[in-house]
Amino acid sequence: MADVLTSKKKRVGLLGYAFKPMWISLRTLMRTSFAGGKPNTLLYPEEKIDLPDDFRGELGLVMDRCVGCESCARVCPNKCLDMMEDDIGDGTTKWMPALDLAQCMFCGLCVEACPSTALHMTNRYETATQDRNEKIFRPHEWALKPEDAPDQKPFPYPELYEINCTGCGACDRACPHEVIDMVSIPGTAKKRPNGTFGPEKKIPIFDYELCVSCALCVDACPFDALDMLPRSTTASDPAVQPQLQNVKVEQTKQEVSA
Amino acid sequence: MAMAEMWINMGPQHPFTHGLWTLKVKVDGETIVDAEPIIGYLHRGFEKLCENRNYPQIIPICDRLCYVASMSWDHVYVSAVENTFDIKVPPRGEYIRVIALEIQRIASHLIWLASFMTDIGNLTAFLYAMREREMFIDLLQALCGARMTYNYPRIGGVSQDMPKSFPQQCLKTVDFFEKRLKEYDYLIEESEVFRIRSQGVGYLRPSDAINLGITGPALRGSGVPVDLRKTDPYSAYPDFDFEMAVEKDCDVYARYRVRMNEMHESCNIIRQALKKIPPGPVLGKAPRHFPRGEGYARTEDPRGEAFFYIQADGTDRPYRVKIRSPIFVTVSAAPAILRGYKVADVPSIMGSLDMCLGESDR
Amino acid sequence: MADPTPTIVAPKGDKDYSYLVSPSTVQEQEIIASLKSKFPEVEVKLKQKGRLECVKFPREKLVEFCTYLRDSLDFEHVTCVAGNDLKRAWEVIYHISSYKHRCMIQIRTELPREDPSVDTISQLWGGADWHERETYDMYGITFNNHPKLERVLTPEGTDFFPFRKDFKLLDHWKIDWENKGKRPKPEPMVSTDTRFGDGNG
Repeated sequence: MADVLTSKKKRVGLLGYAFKPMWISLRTLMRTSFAGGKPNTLLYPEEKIDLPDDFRGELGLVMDRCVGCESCARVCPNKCLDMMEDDIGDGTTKWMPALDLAQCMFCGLCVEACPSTALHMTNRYETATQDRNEKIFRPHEWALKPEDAPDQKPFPYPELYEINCTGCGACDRACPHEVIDMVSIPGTAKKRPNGTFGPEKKIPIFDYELCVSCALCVDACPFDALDMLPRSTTASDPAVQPQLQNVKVEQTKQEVSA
Repeated sequence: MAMAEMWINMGPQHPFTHGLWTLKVKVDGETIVDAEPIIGYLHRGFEKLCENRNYPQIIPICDRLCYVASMSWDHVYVSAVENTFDIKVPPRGEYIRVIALEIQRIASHLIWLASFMTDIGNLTAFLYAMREREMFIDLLQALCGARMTYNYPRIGGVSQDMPKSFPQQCLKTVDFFEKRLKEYDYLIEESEVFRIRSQGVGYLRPSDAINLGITGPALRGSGVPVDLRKTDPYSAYPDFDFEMAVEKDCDVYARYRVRMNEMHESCNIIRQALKKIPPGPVLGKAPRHFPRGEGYARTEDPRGEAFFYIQADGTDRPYRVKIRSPIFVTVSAAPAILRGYKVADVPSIMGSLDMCLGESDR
Repeated sequence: MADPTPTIVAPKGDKDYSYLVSPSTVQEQEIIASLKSKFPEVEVKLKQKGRLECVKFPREKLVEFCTYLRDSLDFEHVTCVAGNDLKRAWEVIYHISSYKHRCMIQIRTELPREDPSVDTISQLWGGADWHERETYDMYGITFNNHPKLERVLTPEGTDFFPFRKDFKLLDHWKIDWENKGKRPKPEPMVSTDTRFGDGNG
């Protein structure tokens, strides 16, 4: 009975009972204890583990950089960011995110969405408190000094992929500032059978001086014709260049201004 | 004289249940006559949760599906979305994903080894496995900045490129780990106690394993050579040359061997991927607006076949998300494996299946 | 030392599955042709390599179709059984895969709104057992002849089906800034689901 199961058994004999496993344990003990050995553990409250720079710890807000675009509050999966007016320290108030850290799950999506590098995940990880209400922060309460945060990256701005654009004007309607202007392209009107001309094709022209990089136009575009790109990379980066049809847009801009 | 049969509750708080679940066993003396697993203590309504979040917001909660193999669950979700909407991933992104997945597989198997060894009674191996896992957690932390809930893959690639020092650190760790694996052979396999408790215990017939829907190391431990990385390749896996770990003994020991061999093969894949990795961008262009459609992806999780089905209705949220968790099916087959063994074999048999309740309760 | 012999005996001569290492030569088109000849009214499409698709499957034929799939076409493995609430109807989605031919078939069956029941396939594949129980648990779709159709994930005695579209969820916590020390209780979400689709792809 049961010969199928027991036939392949490899017996390791008396040595296997104690000596071989014990030899490994002894060797490890010697390796970590004597002769310049390194222990495998840390004495936690005294010593701390080295963390990389991009470690995702407690969130911090650089108030000077925040532009109040609400990108972070829109992207947060747990709705732990809430926008409110708050004092930035010198008497003026600003529209900034407040944080409920007790609901934060440290995913870092808000940091990626922030166009102005105002949000930063610090290396602080010891965030336990007695009461979870102590983890609700008004904007100035979770503020960081600018020198603690990484350097500010160039703002991304909306760029047009002209092939996808139908001139519907959804971006114009979504824009909270008057950044976008729908401009007709001369000569694109189609001739109707009765001889008259239809409407000319429109494309959005951006006034980047007014733009706060809130990406609402990108979200509103139904045909994915807009994308947020750092302004400096569009000219030089060869990976981005062939996808963009900016040349035409620049030309029409000049024509309009002339 | 036959003794009276009776039901025994093992769990929800029991040393052998890694997680929160109950195994009701019906015993006749010491012999198990019938068993009934009861799960659901960790049910969070995950699929309903996904229906109320938009597509990028689902990635961080996929981390919470299985807390020891977060990266592979992120990857299943992301590749299901990519299959549904035909999104292209740049080759460098695919390679980084494969590297991260294989590191995650080793880390997950080490957690299994640690918990399995405590079931068997080998506490030294538990400490060793946790020590080695720390090195791989450090690697993943260098990649994405978090230790367990990574949120690393994105729809169309990965969130950031790997740091400059990463390939060297990774190769060093992998080389070091392969030496340590040899130590495990001495520590665990040469131990007679381990062999008594694993060899010839938990016999699972191959045809039963297939019919009951068991996948992953438990299926390969029964001699069925099915590994989705080979048989239904996804991501960049066709570019690599690796062996499928198959054992024919069908018992607990075979499942143990499969996982140990898989760790070797994962090291092998990581080395090849670091050698061949092409330059370029890591994140492709993902649409902001998702059309209607449906699609699915299946991948080889550390525990078996993971599957994500997505139905999109044109809004920013999915209409229906269905997750197939390998352990949900495997634990349903537990009575078939347990029947006929002694109560003392339960920790050994269930430990060899690598329970994870986060994914099976969802 | 006591002999650790188990009390059950492994049956000798179980099937050898090592042939699964190399892919079979059967093409997807041959599987489709075979299904077409047996079930002319069922429409099976090839979506991409290794992915078959079958929509609007009549629910009366399901067990017959699945038996043919398992016995004649070597579909050994049920990957998933999923329920769905289409608002106008119920739906059960089967994903059945074949290790031998390395392909997967997706079957979508619509059930009428007033009668959410379909025959079980857990008699054919044991792996479908708990998937069907879960579908019953979450959607209230009953599977005829199922050996044990009970709640799996929710506790016994639950009198609602949580994944139905009319089930109300709790809203997110809102911080009460006037009274910072307190968190108000989340209120039931009054169906904010303004989506237009019915999930028909």
